[in-house]
Amino acid sequence: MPDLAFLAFLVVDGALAGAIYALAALAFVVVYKASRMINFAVGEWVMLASRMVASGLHGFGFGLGGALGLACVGMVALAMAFNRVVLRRLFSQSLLSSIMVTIGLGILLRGSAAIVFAGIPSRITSPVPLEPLVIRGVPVSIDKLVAAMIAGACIIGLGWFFHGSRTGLALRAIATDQQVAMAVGIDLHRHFAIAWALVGVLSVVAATLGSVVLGGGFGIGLLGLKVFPIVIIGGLDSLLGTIVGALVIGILESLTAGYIDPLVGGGFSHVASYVVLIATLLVRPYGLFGRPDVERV
Amino acid sequence: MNVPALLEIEDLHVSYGRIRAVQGVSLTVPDAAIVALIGANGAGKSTLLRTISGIVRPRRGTVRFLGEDLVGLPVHQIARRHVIHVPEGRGMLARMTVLENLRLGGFARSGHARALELDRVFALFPVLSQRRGQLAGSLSGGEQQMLAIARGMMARPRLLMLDEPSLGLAPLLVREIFRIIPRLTAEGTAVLLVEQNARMALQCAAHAYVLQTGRVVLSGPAADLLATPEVQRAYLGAG
Repeated sequence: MPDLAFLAFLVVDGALAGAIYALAALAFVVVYKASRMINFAVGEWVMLASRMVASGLHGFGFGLGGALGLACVGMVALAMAFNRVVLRRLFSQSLLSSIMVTIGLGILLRGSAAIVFAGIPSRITSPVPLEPLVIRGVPVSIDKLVAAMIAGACIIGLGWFFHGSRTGLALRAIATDQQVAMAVGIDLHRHFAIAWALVGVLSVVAATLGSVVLGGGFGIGLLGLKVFPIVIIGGLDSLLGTIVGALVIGILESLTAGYIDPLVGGGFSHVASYVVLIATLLVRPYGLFGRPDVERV
Repeated sequence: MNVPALLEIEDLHVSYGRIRAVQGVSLTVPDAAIVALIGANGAGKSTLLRTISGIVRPRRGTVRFLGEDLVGLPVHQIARRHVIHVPEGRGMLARMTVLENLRLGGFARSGHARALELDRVFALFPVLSQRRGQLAGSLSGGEQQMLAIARGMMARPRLLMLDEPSLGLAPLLVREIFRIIPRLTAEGTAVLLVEQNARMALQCAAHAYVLQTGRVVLSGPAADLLATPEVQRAYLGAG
């Protein structure tokens, strides 16, 4: 491949992967936006969702639609139960205890998934052709392209939900000031449940697209590790920032994998995003799109 | 006269830990009236409002609204009964637009009712109509106070509780706010007004209560209180 075409291939391939990362990152951002809570277990949520889709396909013999439906029901049920049983009890405690409990749940999910889903294949096969499309000498894999388009549609839908719907307005109000939100008649716990249900659905979509494109199994949980550099770059609560952050990380990984990994014997592409994460924290601790808290007195 | 008052508070006691903020307060707000609550800092005025809106739970006593005891109800349930609290410091959602803040005020209502209310609120506060697309944080202090009251009005409150609406405003804007408050009652809203600016409050209210260290020390028609020597000495700065 000529140099320029190789570069174009890496950029496009990275951006398409970035669109899927964005979905996982948004699962994180939705909860942060509504409750200032940091979910350290996004990777485990996505992993569990991918196992549920896979068992729908291979365990129950459903089609892709049925498997997705099954996983959505399962994940939303888990999310609502987690919110109702665990987080609601911790509501009056410090935020830190809620954050720690997400880590605990992550470990629990990882451990129990290995037992519950033992023996069930984890692959989710692509329903679209595998031969890449070649556009002006640059190969573009069709499954990645389709996955990125689905991810893009979900992101647009989510943007509308937050900025165009009544429930989205309420969630944004809760994120800014819970007292004000309650004072206008918003039921906080009901809206936290809605935010967590969204996490469940986003996990299923991210898991399915991620498994098809990046390979399934427990490795899909690694998607969770990409979330932190993305949201730090994006500024934690900005939808647009998250999308840009995800594309940056996707392309960065792809470029370092293409150019630097062969020189150092591989592996740098996995670390590169963390180098950027640390650099961002040093220069703009509130992210490229986040705003430092300014208060008018 | 057996018509129940809009709000009837009886023997209310509120404590923060060992500090007794409100000690046996009883007060009544008639329908569509303005009732002022005056007193020094720390007299328990804000605590009283916070108790009515459910943020704080009383140790003892009842808060009856249209005959129903509000004590123990969650904050959002009390708001949905059209008892609306505009807190001190206005509670602006600075990064949302004026329109979004107002929509939020009408959160518990249907889309149609919200649209009608928006017209009414813009008629009361024309300046907000001009600024509807602006971020709330970019408004001046006086405009933010108007937005806070307007957001409260979006819920079509039966009882609107205003905590220090004149705080930090220039005299001209204070007068503007006090010109608007009586107009709210024309919409069928009763106003419970907590104010440091006792003169302005007593001039626009029908009834008033004077609070001192958590107790009601004086109450009656606002015009009478305005003429009471004790009130003049303690709160109106007269020699």
